[in-house]
Amino acid sequence: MINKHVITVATIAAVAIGFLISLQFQAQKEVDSAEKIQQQRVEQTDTVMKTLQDENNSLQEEYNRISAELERYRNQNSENPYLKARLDQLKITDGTIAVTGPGVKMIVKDTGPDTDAVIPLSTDELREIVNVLRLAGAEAISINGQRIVASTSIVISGTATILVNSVPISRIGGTTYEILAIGKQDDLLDYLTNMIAIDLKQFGRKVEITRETVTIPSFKGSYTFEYASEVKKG
Amino acid sequence: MAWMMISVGMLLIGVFLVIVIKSYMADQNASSQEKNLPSLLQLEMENEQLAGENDKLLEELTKYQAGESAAALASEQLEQAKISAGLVSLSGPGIVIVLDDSDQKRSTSNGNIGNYYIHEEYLRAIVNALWNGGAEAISINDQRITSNTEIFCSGSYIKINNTRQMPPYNIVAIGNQDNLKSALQFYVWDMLGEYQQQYGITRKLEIPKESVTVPAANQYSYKYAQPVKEG
Repeated sequence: MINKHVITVATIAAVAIGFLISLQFQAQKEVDSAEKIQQQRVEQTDTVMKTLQDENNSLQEEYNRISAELERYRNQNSENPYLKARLDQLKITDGTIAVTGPGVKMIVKDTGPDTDAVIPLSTDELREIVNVLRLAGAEAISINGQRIVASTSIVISGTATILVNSVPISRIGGTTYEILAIGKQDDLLDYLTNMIAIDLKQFGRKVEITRETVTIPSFKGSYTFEYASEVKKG
Repeated sequence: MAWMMISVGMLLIGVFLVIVIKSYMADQNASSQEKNLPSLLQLEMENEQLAGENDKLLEELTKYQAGESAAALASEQLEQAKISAGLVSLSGPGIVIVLDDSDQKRSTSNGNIGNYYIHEEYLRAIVNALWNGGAEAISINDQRITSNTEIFCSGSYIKINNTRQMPPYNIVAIGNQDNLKSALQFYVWDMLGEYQQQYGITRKLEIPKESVTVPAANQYSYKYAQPVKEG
């Protein structure tokens, strides 16, 4: 009797196991093919990435070449050094010239490994950093390679991507922001430490501020005046 | 018999686990691809910027090579740079925004008293939205907004270009009126509207038919930043 009972149970169990195993294989197959597609996608992304990187390098080379040649022509203007100096000053304001000088570098890790924060840095926080730097007398500012000029807007696109000068600068899964500023180092350091870093650290973000001689890239956007025209003084 | 069934069961659980872990790893992979997407976009945008920049430089170079004198070109550039640096007063079609503190008697019982005031963040958010909407020039209470302009609350006033500004705040922007208006509405306008209803702050948008004027900024004198010599 007992034997018969065991056999029944064993049969049911065997059927169940068979069913489960075939289910497993099916699932395994699906996972495998998904993995393959995934792999292909990653490869494709890598290819596109590489093409873009190559393009970037050649554009950069071209930029250096043209700039060097232009500089030669511009310097022929040596009979009027005042004009050139004045132009340079204006270009620091509109951001169309790269600048170097004493300043600070602030690294902010907003979320992800080695931070205790879960909410990414907001556009409000970035604008506040820029504002405090301006208050501290910063002469030039950049965030992740984007020069901050008057007309720079810092906005969020979709749910997570922060655009500065229309260029995305944030990453999913935690962004490291590199903020550079040129100006009086004591002031920049003091304002950033007391007005920005304290709050950021309180949120669990990682902040590092160092005195450095920094080089800030030029603003690559363009100025168009389609609607505005000069007011002539009469 | 029972032992055998248990071992088979264990085996099954093991296989399940492997599958679960595998599919989890596949998910991880997906998110690493997602992570790559922004840097892809970033590179693409940077390339676009660089290409535009190169075109501009090439144009200038062509002028030199065509024999235009350096002096003439430099003074032409000077005029352009003055405009983009904000040192020239401009006028054109645009919009005017007026913000003012609430004049409701502040019954301290009704929550946070800060809600009755216009804060620096509102001004910054509006300026940011207007640039995003393609503004060509912006001023607040006749202070031109330049790359060095701070908008900073110091208690009873807001510091702009190192001057003290009090409410009401008149924000003037030159540009395409429709674009300016929609950028404003997209980013900040509704939030301010709620404050208007609840606390009685003033939030006014005018779209005048006649042109608006934005004053010139003063030249900022740079002490630390040096132009980088190319090449």
